[in-house]
Amino acid sequence: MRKLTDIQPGTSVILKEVLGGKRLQTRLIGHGLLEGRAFLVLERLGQGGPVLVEIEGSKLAIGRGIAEKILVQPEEGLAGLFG
Amino acid sequence: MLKAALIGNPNAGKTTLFNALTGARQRVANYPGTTVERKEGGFQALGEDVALIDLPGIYDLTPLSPDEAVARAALIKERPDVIVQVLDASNLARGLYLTLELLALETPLVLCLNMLDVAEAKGAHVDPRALSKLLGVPVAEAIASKGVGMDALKRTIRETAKEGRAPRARVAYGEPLDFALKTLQSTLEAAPSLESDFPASYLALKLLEGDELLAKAIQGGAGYAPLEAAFQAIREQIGQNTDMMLKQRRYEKASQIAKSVTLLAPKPAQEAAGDKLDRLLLNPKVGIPAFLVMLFSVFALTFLLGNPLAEGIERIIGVLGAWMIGVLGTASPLLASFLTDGVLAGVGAVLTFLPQIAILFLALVAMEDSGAMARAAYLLEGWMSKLGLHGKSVIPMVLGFGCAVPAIMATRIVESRKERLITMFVMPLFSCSARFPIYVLIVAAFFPKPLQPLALFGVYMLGVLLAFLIAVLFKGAFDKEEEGFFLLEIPPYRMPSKKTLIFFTWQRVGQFLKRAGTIIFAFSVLMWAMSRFPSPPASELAAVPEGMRPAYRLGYSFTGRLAKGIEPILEPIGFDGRIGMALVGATLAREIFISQLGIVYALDAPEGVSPSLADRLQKDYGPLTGVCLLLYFLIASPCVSASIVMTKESGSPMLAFLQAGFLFALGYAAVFVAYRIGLMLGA
Repeated sequence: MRKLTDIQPGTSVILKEVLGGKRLQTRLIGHGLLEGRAFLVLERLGQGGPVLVEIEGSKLAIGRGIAEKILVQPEEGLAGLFG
Repeated sequence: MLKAALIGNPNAGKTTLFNALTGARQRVANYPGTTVERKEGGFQALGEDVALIDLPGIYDLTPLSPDEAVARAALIKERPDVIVQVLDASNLARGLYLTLELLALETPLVLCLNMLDVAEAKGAHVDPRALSKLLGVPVAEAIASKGVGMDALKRTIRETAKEGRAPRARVAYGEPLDFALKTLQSTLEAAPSLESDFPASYLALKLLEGDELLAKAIQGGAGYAPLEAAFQAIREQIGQNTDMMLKQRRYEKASQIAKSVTLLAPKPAQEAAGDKLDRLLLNPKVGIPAFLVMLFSVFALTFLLGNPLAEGIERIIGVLGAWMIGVLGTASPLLASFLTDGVLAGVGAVLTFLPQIAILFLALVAMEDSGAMARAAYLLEGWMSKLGLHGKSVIPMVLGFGCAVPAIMATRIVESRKERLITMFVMPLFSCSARFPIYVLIVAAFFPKPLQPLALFGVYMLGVLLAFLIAVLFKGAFDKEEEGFFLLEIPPYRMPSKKTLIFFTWQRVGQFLKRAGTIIFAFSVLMWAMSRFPSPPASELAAVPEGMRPAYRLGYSFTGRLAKGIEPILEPIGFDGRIGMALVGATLAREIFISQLGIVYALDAPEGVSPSLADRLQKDYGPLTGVCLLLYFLIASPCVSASIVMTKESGSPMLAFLQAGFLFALGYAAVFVAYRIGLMLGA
């Protein structure tokens, strides 16, 4: 599992865990970011900027502070696991 | 009259739909007993009046901000006959997540499947009949931006409200959650003293979701003990995490339903045009300069397109004035002076800027509606958070170029209090449209033509720079709190629809005209009277040489004396009595600065000569005065309305007071320094 901030743009990932409180989790679920969901990392801005992801066909900017609390697993890794 | 409440996700087209449904029949009102604003409107369907209230865009009914709490309470307490939810057909799962929660409210529900054109373009076809059947609620199709489907939607809203049948479908959360919900619900129903405004099924759901607001509302009441016991048993059996389990299950359900009613065309091999554009523009090296170029173009446009139009208006006003003097001049000189020197010179001088204001607002609306603003927020978030601001602060800040009042209210989208307060504090440095005509006037008077757009843009950017600087300096002064989180949907690019552009621009232009017709008119009359009276005795006037008489009269008047009184304050920063008179007026409303200058010059002018205000200014003052005036209005000029909203929104009169005092002191100091440096350089 890796932090969302450590993922290269262009990688498809699966959300594993959110390390934040209930407030944050509730907001994320509202945007479709729940455990077990796959989404695509589009862009990662420097300067402590946000991470841009695509989930269910819409683009979502996630601030650096939150992105660090989101643990994901790259999908390629899973594919390797199942042959 | 039937009552409907409009609800939906942000970016689902709720505002567009509200406008399409209500047209001009809308007004801004407060939620009962609060200062939180909302829009209200209405329409007619089959000969019956339907009142429509607009609720804020939300993703679910879990209030995380005071605003959302007020909106949810209103949804229940005001007992609408029907709730209308807007769904973005191209983003269905997220909308349905809210729908599934609304089902539990036991209020008739209508779904409006909006943005069908966007969905089709994405290759998604949504079957409204299948959706209606699955959820047991009526579904109307619409493309609100083009006004498609409005009549059918109005009829559906009316019929559903009349029938008054609440949806019966419930979400199956699976065991043991469903059992827990049922237990809580029957416990609640058995204790009528615990009853709140919410139906028991909804209350049970939200309590199990850990809704603190609702829990607090019923805590301690008689009959609370059995509920507490039931809760205890549930926690022991299925654990503490029921809240997130429920929300996750609900989202999964929503996602399933969305899939089952959507027919997806195979994904096109070619990248969508918007995605291509985003790959370019969402790169900060391209995107941030592009954003600045866009802002600059807006200001250039106001000059290139607006000025010729404004000159046209000026000419019409001039002709009108000459005609009035011709008709009334000899019969009633006082009435002629009142109409030409007072009303025409005062209100007319402000009205001249109508074309520029319209262009400015048109551009602001286009930027918001096209999706450009959200992208700017994304690109600037990293920098903003370093400054102690929030990425989303960009949105109220750009709105601040329109007016500080809605901009300060729009800071509500900033989710941490600290970042919100800082954003509000620096808001007056984002020059509003009331200062815009003043800038245009001064820039036109003192800067060479090719440099004018750049000078105007420079003033705005200086304001932005100062705002950022102050934010950094004051970041530590506000209490450190929980980190605000930045989570922002980037909507697809949209060509702003002609309807939306015209509607919002007209709304703002209408407000400007209303302001000119009421406040500016009243103050112009007051200013005219204060600058005309008292008249010097005829014997005294006779001793003054003919050419000096208008100036002598003005000096004798109330305004003239007032200006003399404040001269000691103005002298160090290089402003004379005439500018002083206009500044006195500007404390009431900034546009009065122009009105008052217009009046003073009109009263001061030899009969019949009326060159434009910019020409007169250029004749009487040097560029240094121009720069000083720009600086004064950029930083120092206080605005009463902004201070009032600031007090309301921050809950701290002290902060509003500090803000006004600090900015005045800073502005005064800046003008002082600029004036002294200018004098030293011999300007």
